[in-house]
Amino acid sequence: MLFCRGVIKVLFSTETFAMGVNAPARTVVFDSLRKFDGKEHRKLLPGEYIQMAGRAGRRGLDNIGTVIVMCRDEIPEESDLKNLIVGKPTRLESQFRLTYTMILHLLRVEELKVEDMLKRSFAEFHAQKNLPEKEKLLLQMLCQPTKTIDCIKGEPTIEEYYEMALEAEAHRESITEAIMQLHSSQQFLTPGRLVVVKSKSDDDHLLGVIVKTPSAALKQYIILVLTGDCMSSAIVPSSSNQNEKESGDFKQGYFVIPKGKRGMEDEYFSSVSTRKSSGVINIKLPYKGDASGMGFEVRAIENKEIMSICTSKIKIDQVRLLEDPSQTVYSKTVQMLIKEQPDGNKYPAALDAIKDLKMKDMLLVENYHAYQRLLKKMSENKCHGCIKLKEHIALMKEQKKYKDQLNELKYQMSDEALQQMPEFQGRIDVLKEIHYIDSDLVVQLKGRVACEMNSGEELISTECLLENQLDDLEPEEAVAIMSALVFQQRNTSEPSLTPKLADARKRIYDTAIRLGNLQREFKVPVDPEEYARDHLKFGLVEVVYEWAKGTPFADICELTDVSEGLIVRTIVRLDETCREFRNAASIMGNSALYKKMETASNAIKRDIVFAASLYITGI
Amino acid sequence: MRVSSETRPNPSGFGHVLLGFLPFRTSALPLHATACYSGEGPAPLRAQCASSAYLCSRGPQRAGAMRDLQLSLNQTQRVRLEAALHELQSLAPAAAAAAAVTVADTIPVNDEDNILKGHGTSDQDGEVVATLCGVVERVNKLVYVRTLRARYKPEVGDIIVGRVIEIAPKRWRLEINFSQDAVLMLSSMSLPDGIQRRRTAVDELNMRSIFEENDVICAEVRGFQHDGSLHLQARSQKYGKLERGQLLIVPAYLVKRRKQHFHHLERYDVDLILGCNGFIWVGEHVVVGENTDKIEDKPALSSEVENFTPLETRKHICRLANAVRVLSALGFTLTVELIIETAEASVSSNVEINAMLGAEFFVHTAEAEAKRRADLLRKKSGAR
Repeated sequence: MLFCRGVIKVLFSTETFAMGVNAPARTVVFDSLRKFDGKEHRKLLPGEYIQMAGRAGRRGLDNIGTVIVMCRDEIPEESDLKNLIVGKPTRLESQFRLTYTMILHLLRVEELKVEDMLKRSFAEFHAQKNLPEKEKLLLQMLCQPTKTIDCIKGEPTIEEYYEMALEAEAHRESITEAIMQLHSSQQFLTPGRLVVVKSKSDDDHLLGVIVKTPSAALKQYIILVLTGDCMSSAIVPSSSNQNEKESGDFKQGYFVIPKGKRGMEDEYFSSVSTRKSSGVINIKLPYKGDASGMGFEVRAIENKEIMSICTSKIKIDQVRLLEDPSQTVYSKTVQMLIKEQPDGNKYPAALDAIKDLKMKDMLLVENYHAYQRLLKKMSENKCHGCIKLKEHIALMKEQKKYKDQLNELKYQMSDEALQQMPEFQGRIDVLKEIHYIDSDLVVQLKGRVACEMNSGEELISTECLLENQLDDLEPEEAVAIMSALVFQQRNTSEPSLTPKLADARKRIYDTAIRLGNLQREFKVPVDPEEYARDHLKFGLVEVVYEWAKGTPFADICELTDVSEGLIVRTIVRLDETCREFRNAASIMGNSALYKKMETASNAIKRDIVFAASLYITGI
Repeated sequence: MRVSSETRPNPSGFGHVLLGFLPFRTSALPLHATACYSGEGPAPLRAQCASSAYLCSRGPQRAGAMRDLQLSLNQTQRVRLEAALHELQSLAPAAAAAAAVTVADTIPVNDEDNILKGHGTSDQDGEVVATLCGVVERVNKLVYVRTLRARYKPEVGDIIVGRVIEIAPKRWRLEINFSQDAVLMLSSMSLPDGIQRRRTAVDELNMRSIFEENDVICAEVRGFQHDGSLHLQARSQKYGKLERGQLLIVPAYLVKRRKQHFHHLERYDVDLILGCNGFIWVGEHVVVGENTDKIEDKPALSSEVENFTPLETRKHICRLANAVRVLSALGFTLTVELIIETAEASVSSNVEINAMLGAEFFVHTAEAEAKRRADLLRKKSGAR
């Protein structure tokens, strides 16, 4: 205050002055840019620098505030200074911790839900900031009119059909993958086997025949498929291209045909004999062609594009198809394929996975059966043969996407998306398990006792009370054990305890371990050992015992290496704990415990530890 | 061996409980089998008293005499009531019956465990003896006796409904069916203009404009004072003065602590507040709006008695209130579902609102409840 008024001209202070006191100055001088933060010697952080340097310049009194950094022997590095002065201060991070006390207190109040509390923490700040925008978006999306699908056959059953189709697709993929892996299917996939292939462009399936199976050179199946459309214009140039490839030396193409490739003339006879194919593919894939009024294509596919393997086989001339492309042979093959198509639209019967391919795996068989059932149901559905099917399916896809988006948005806005939800759920389960709350989340007796415990860890304290662990202890011993809940320093000298105290210590330690295990079981991120060690520190048990028995302060300080200030602080906090235990005793209705806590409180409230001030002696 | 009430001095507070010890046929219904009318716990003895009352063949005008309800049951009705009550008793879980104790019973306790003695127990000659009538509860090592019918015992966070009896400096005193009056501090009450500020002397002088004597108020228990009386708070929009409705007084043990005590029944546009202290409020629904709206509305309201409650709403309010009266007379635990069900049953059987307090509906409700519990039990055992 004197400094603020200007009576004191120069103030030497620690960092603390800069932190909390509203006392600006004209100039700030940094003695050093390093500090000890309790753990290590380190450089100042940009945030700390800003806090301290910001003191310079009093509003209304100074035009400029000056900051001076004392260099003494060495000038700091430029990079260090730059980082310090213009570096980004530490990011704000939420230190919100979900504790049992908080949950229990909130559950007692009817109007506030714990989720509301979680939503308001800083950790959820970003999500909640975007909330109004998301709400607007949701409203917008909901207002968008959904296009209704008009079914020409009466009631729209397109939704069921679509869902069945999706399911069937999923089944089919898993089945065909399995089928392809089966050894027996390899036996069937020989040249000449009819297969149904998934087409690239749309969802329709194409009938085709295997021309070549994978070999070392080419890992794909070569298949001739019927594409349905005539593309006659594309024929001649492509065949000429092939010829060009074969004999690289003629440029003119159509007129001079080398002797062995008389494709056009071979129309009149087709040789039945099949030369042994040398495995060479001499045509460019995909090779589109046209024959017998149907377009066809020779392409290479992966085995997962094979939809199903048909029961029938046709005879193909591999050599003629691939090595010496001959139009006759193509046309013959196409004709045979067309013949195999039963009624123009459906595909020939597929191999039964179970009977023919001997698929034995139980899951796959179940899948397969489900798939067959779905197919049957789909065919019974009116949509199956509908001309508008493709259109409707496209619409359904769109609608589903839209619905998915809507759900995603709703989820993000809901309670489930909170970061701390899983932990919260875990803690609620723990509380239910140990009967602090009942299944309706109404706080029970144990929960009410736990609400009283503010100084120690609430679960351990409540369990200790309700297990009657303090029953056989004298008040002095009881308060000594309670000191374990409030003492906050590790790595102290081991106290020497009487057998009774040692027993009590073991009991409470076991309780803590048990609680830690329980929490871990319910997915609360807690390690039992660490939990017990963090919340129970037995360093001052002997000291407090002696103090409660009446030993002078000077003597008890000798018993341990803990500093005197910490001893005093712990004992003062212990008084608070005694009061809480006393309240708990009145909730539970046990007067013996009540009296014991009162006695204990009186035992420790004496002499220097509870002196109001060391400088002013009062009575 | 039952100790009959005549030989024992009645400690205060037990009078109404020991009423149940009227000497009746020993073959019927010892205390612990006077089980579950009210939900999970053993039954209130009053209803038992009622049935026993006419079993002991008292005069017809006394039969079925309940709190607030003077019923005269004719013969068939009596028989039906008896049957319904008997069935309710038989549905009671036997486990609850086993744990019931009366005053001076020894609580069976393992001597090796060092148990913690809680409420309602005392140590006599090394044995743990009950000092209350109720059910023994065990929580870890704590053993205590939970009373079934007792005075209201407040907890922090309870929602209660009370009536102002006095305005004292900076506080209101409310009557809440407890041994002492509750105190609602001026600072625990939100001001009409909604601003958060220190309460000045002017505010203190204007306390009457917020609540007057005999106003019904809803508030929440904030804590206990050192002398045991309650401190209340009414800061939220939901708490405060209750208008346009009925206040019903039922025994406090019929209202169990649940997750939700404020119920807004949309179908009837009625607010139902189940106060934990046994005061129940049934009233017109109040839209919880912004504070600023209240200021604008105020001149309009004071100038005329505008929008009075529509007749339909009033009928619903009366019906629900009567449902509560009947249920409390029968001694069933009050839950929203049960109240609504009873009200709807009265509508569906075309019972007039004032006839709801008559004998016929009384018996009908008892039977319906017996049936419902039986169904529930069957479903549970079937599911298992």
